Amino acid sequence: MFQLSVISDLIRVPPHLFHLPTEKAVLNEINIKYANKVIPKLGLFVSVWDLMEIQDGLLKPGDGATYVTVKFRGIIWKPFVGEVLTGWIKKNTPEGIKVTMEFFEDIFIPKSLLFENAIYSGDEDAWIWKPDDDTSLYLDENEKIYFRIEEEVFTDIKPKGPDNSMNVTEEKESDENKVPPYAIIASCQTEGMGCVSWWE
Amino acid sequence: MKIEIAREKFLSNFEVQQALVEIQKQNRWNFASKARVYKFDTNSRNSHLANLERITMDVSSYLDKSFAKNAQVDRFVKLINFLNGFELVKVEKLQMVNLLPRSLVSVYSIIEECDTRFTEDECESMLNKIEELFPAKQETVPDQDGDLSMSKN
Repeated sequence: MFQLSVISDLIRVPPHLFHLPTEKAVLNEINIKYANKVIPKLGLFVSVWDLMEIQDGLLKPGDGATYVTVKFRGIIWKPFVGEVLTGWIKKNTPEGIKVTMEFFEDIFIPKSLLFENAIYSGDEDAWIWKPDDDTSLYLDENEKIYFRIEEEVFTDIKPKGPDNSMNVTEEKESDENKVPPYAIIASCQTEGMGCVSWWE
Repeated sequence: MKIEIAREKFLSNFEVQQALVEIQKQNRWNFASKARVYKFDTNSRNSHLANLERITMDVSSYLDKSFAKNAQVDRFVKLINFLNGFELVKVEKLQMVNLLPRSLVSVYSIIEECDTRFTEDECESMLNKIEELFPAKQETVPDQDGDLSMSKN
């Protein structure tokens, strides 16, 4: 679910943008700073919606740029608990299902929040739900599914220190296991959840 | 940075899509080719907006798949006006508009305690209204995912 949030910030406008109208320069700078980034405790910032208030720029000694206090509204993606969303299965693991929404990928459905009679089949790399003894429904990779938001987890990502190691492969591995700043725990255990095609 | 109001308003997916199309137009970004081979031109003057470009592309590609091509503002207004006739909470209406459910079971999953609050006929009428305003064309073209699950069953 998308929403509008009112945010105020001090934006630095570098001198090479002084030829632009203030609104345009500020808008650009906000988008550079926030677009596609997670704001802690808020959500994923998509883009500026509109500018509400621009105050006069301030100067700092030793810096050619102006600092402008701006109040603006941004489009934020932040689902609420209980919301039903659609996404695609990115990966099936014995621990649960990873879901992607193209622009947001850190969604996880742990096995405890899957259908009661669901089992993981390693051979087929799929979760199988058996609503009764005769039917088995498959949750394959790339299937479009409905899921319900259960919890959101924000992690404070600290900036990385200087990296002195020469080992490139090691760095790649840690990249894959890194904690996302914003993760979502979802569930898939009531009627209406699961593959979109099941319920049509 | 200071967050003044965390949630001022909700936006429907359609509104977001319109805003993103506008941004893309202003910057002359063209993602018309649906193939995801689009390359970011690092030499272009707008390369510093690569993050914005990336997110608008991904979000609109996701939203594109969620509603029919004939989606128009007045149709959404009609749907909302119709849903206003029921005692639905704001977020429930919003999810109805975003997901455009096609079956009773989807409606039940969106609306809390649907069976006690609404009769089956009322739910049916909501579905009919959605079908009337946003006819599901996709069904004539079976998507690959659906086929896969069918063959496995």
